[in-house]
Amino acid sequence: MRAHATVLRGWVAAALTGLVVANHPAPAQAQAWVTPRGEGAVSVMTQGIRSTDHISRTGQANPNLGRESLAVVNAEVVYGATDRLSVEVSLAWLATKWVGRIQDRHGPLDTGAFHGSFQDIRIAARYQLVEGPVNVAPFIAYGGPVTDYETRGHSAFGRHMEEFTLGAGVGGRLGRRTYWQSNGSYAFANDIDTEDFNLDHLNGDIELGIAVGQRWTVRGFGSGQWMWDGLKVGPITDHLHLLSNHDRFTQSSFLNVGGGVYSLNPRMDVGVTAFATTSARNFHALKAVVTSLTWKFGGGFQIVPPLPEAPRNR
Amino acid sequence: MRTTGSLLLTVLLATAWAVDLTACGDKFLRIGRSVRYGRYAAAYPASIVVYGPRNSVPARVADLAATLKRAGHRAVVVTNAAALAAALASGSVDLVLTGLAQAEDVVARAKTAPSRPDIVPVIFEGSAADEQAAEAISTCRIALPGQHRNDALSEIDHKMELRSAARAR
Repeated sequence: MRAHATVLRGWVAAALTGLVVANHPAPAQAQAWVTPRGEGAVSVMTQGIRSTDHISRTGQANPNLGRESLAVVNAEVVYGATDRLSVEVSLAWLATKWVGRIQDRHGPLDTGAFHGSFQDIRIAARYQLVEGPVNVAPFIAYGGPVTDYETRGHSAFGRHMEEFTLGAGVGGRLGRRTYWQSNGSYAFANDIDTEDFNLDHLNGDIELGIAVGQRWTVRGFGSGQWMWDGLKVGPITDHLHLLSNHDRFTQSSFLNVGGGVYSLNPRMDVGVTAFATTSARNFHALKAVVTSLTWKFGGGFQIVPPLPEAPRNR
Repeated sequence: MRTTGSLLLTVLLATAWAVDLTACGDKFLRIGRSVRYGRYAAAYPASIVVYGPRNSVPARVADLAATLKRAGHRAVVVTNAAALAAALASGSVDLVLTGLAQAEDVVARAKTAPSRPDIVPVIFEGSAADEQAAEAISTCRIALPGQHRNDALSEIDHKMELRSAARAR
């Protein structure tokens, strides 16, 4: 009986934990405007994420299953190949730590110390389909692991799963000082041969921004994910064979809300953002602080040489 | 972590308080540009005539009109005085972009045009004398080759803001 209770508790705890890193959500991915031709940017974004509550399949918070801390560094390069087509490549590195009762451990990294690893790479292409009062930019993306990282335990680094994503960003102005943009995407997760789960997920976010003073843009946003299949947190009657490596298969849905400020400059942008999970199923209650540094290059006009003087009529 | 946080905060504050070298339309960088990666949307969409006779500075900027249109302006390129006169006679022109060599003529024509368009000089590798000449025409200008497209667009937004304010009075 005691052993059974431990197994169930392990499920409840573990079914939630891997999703923290698997989804390590950016503040917002909405991007309705594509980087123009010849322009680009190199960005480094850091996220400090802390979670003290595990959220059940019914949305109930449980504070008794330890707490996770994550430090994420995401490096991204964006380049405008044409005036309508841009490409993006990003790579995530993260460090995870779990602190809790020893009986709630369920992975080799749950030692109470930080462990680090490179995680996933993401390659995307974005096309500026519509420009004007409303801007539309569809995109396609591939994401997948770059190392054979650990997927077990509270301190798991992620799902270790390939995904193809189709989506679009939409945005425009709301007056002279404000803008909005929104993003929707559908991710096709690769099938796990031995399991019957459909781990596809739908993501969406919306962002409002307003220019304040000479240098700052203040933004607020909400971002969410919806899944309709996968393991659910709680008493388990099947799929017990996934106990040791279940984090990859959890059905997680969440809504995060946050805001922040950006300082936009001709060559460098700096931003600080915070967000928190406001509702979730089979997930974690996250609180995060995100910083970003972006160095931009290109963007000059194309100057052509003078034409030869036309011959004069005699 | 504390050290990293302090470093980021220092960079953030230094950036926020850095001396601004593009003073004219600089604030429109914040307004006109999307948060990430720089595509600019005009805060004051305008009707703009680019006066680009053969080998003039505006004529040598291959993507000038396209950049204006992408930002949301209505831009027309004219290459001779007759076409300029016809465009100005339409009565809907807000701004004329011109090289310094043509500026005197353009300023004179603008004064008699129905919409009284404002002038934005376009300078290429300008000397101190060129800068002074441009300053005499307008506080806002496009200075090439070094100026970022977004900076040029923010100059135009600033000029339009001044024009709107003057018309409101």
